[in-house]
Amino acid sequence: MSGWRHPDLGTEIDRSKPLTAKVDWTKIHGFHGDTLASALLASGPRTIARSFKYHRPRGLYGMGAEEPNALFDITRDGTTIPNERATLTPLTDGLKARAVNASPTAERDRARWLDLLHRAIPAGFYYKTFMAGGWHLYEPRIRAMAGLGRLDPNTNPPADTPARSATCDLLVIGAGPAGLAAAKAAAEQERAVWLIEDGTSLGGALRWRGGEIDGADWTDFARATETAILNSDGRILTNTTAWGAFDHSLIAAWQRGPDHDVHWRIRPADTILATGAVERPLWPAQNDLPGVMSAEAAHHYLTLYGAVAGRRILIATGSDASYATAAAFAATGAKVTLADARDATPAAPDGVRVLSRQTLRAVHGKTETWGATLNDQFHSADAVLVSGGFTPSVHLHCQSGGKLDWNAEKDALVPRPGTSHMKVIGAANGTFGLGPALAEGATAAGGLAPDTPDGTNWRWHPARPDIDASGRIWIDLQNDVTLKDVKLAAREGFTSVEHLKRYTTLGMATDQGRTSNFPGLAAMADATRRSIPETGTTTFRPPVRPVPLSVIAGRRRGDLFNPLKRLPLEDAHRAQGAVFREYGGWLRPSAYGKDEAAAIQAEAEAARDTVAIYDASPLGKLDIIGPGAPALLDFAFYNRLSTLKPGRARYAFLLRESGIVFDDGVVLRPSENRFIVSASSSHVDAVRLLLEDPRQGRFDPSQVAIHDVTQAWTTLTVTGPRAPELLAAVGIDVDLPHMGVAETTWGDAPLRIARISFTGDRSYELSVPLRQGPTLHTRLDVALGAVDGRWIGLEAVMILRAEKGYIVIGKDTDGLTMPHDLGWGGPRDTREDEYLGKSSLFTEAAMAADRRQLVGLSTTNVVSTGAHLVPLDGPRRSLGFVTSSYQSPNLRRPIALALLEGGAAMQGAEIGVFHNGAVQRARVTKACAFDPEGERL
Amino acid sequence: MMKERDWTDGALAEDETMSAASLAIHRAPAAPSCMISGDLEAAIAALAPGARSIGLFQDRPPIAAIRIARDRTLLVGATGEPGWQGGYAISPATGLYTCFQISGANIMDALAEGTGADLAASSPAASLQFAGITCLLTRQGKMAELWVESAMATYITTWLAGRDPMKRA
Repeated sequence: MSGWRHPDLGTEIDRSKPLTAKVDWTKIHGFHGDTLASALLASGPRTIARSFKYHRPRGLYGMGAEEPNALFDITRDGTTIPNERATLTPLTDGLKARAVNASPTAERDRARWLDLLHRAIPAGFYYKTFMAGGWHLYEPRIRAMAGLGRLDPNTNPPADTPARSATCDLLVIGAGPAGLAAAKAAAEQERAVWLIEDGTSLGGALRWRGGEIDGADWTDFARATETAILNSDGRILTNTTAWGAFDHSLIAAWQRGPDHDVHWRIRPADTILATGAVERPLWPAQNDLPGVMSAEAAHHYLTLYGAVAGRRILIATGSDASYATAAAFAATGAKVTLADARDATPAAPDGVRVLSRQTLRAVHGKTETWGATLNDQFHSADAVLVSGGFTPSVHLHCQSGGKLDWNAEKDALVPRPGTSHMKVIGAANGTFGLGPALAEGATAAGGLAPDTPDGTNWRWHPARPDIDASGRIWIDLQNDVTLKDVKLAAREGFTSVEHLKRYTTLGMATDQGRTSNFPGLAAMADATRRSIPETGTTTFRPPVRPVPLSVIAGRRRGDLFNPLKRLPLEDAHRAQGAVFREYGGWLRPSAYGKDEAAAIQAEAEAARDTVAIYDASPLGKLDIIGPGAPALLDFAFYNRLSTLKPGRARYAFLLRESGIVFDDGVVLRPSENRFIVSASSSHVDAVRLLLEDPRQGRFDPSQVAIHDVTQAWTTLTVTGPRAPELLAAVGIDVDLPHMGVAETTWGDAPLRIARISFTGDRSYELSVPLRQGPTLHTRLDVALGAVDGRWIGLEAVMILRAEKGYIVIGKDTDGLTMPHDLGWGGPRDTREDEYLGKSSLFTEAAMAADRRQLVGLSTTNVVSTGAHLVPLDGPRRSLGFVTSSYQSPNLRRPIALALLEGGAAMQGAEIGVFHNGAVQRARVTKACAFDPEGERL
Repeated sequence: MMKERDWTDGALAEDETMSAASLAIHRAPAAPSCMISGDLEAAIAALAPGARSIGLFQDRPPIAAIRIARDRTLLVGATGEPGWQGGYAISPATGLYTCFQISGANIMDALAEGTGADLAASSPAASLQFAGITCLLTRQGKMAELWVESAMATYITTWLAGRDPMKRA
């Protein structure tokens, strides 16, 4: 291709601001306003890319998101973004671009020999060939050869794209003639209109085709539209892609700014889609050569950037639209031949040679085009511009549930009205030409059609791939899918378009099949003797063009990604040297001290010897209040709770309907009509919702309420043999029985004391309102030294509870564990009333003898959590797994809990613990390894 | 790469004010409050006679019932004894929510960044998703009040502080 820069043309470029960039280490020059694609086109002959599979030479084909070839890794200001389209990349000074699929450069690609093997590697080659031996052996090399962009591990793009939500009366997507007419009509009715345009400015194809509207140049109409929108409290977003349509009319849009991007979430009352259409290619042999371009794209580059595709131009078409293109090129002095497939053609533009009844059979060249065969005659050309009609861009319509109908007159699949929440107008609806598009746009918004002398509705000669044609014909340029591949898929039975897509990868590339889906389905229809509507289309999914993950993720990175709940006493714990980890969505002290492993052991030992305190504030505090509370809790819990006396607490399980243990915890009953469910820290929200279900659906909700007041309280747990001594020192009376609860005051503040234990030692949970938390912390801390106690983190607590065989839900249970697997069969055996999950506890599976049951393990070394339990003799199979494993400083030996098949009946037996290929012996014990009689409680 | 323990950001302290992205953000001292459910009219009549029920982004007087759900409200400026009171339930909830008072010319930008809720449309409940978490949103005149569960106060502080004033759409 012999691209060149016209000395005068170029409405979008500023020739007073020259720019320089490097493409594959070669300098190219352009101007402010250029895209990388326009600068490349104007820079002269060039193979700018290589194809994905065969590494064929490729040039620029399109002008937007449909571009299948010109993909580059772009480095700008030290940040590299892979796989950017040159057509959508603004040229900036110092920009560096590296062609993907090529090494070292697109022109001198080392892997170009692959094309010689094309007969041996058709579609499905990998599926069939690399089944043996393991795909993982081949994958790295194949992926390296397949190319696509290279991620720069040093690139760390900022997580700073803000999201913005917005509403409006009418959202118009696309600012071509139809979109402008619709937006103007609606704005003049004082509707708040938002107009989104993917390009840099309004006008769509008017920008390069021009036009007269309401007796003036189209730019006047565009300016009037802009004024009307802004006067009606609307907004215009250019450089903005509406990339997804979601439930409840939500449109996601990516706005690209010179300094920053914005991710819009727009919920309009009404939406009008005017996203235009993409020109179809033609399918002669060697249609992938550099120099073969979309005619409309070539017209676009010529007018907007003065980038001329060649000097000897052949336009192969069957469309009225190409005549203006031919005229525009002829005006540059280029030699232009227009080959029309039709008998009857419009009048030839000045300087254009028009040939009728022409079929483009082949393009000739090697790394650039030097001619083409029309019918049976060779024609010299350095650029072959093709137009096979247009495919409406209906992605957003289809994403929002819209259907398509085949319209033979329009030669296109067009939106079926009423099947999505948006109206589709203009070329996106198969309505081409300035006059019809303006009329349809204005009418859709309830306005009158603007006046224009150009009333022609474009028509074209239907063009399809000829499945009997000879030579190599590309259907999907980006994924290197040929007509032969489509025929192969048909022969092998992959005749559904969805199967065709997956077998050949047709339409699966980042161009979303804009130029390949239609010919692919047309070829498949022909090969299987079906019609296009019978063959159907594939599914449209967001995004409509690649959107950077940094835009979608926005600011949710680092501190803002999955944020943790924070303790009100965090600063106080930090001041005491606490190190923090995440536990169930909360950031909590894991231990106090720089040497975490040593601190954990020392803390667990101190808790047994003297007294320890840990922050238990995240423990759930669900107030269940009302006369209906006992009945609700009896139904929701496995253990009966209505029999719990006021001032007492009880350990209880919550089950799912499946009988699987969902949570455990202590339920407190401070007074007759009030219970407090102390749900696991990570389960508070889920337990509340689980309780809300029967409250609202089974019981009278006016008689029982659920309040989650977890975060209104600070809870500090004092545990250990000297706990009463410590509490006495700070003036807290603890004359309570085990599992006793008291609500009292401490100074002027409310204080709730619960004598319940998660450590196996006498423990008191002290709960005070948030404001009193620091005071309680300080007073306890001062008194702690006198009794030789210490603060302990969650890791020590984990050891203490494991010594006692106390479980942590989700750690010592899994998705199959029922309460009787944990030794809690009592309620199952005795309760006759209904409770959640009851029926499931009596199924054959629930009563099987080989259920995995909670046991302890005695081992010589600390075993790995998650290690499988296996028989010592006979075939190796998993009998269960280790759920918790620690070195106990109090027992001076390793301890472990496990779920073991038939474990309850295996006390004293030996089993294997399999980990990293080795088996270690372990003896099955009871889960409780410390103080089995509970004398320390 | 962020490590598990790299959570060193802190929450705005009570009654402290910070400036970020051309906004003034003040953490209000916790007012006495309680959660009530059930017969809300009777509860309000007994605990805070004359207090109004406040919905989404509605103007809040000092004593008000901020509606959380159909039958649940956060009574701010008053509290009561916990338990069942013949038709309604009370739980003391002082400090359960942290109130961030946000003011400045670009306040609607900040709100539009945090929530997809249409603040011009009324809703009887003040609950909404803001910055990915469930919050309450009221206002006092032109000042927005974002009520965040206290354990998330640090997150919201970081979220508000990290907004860039140059990145207004």
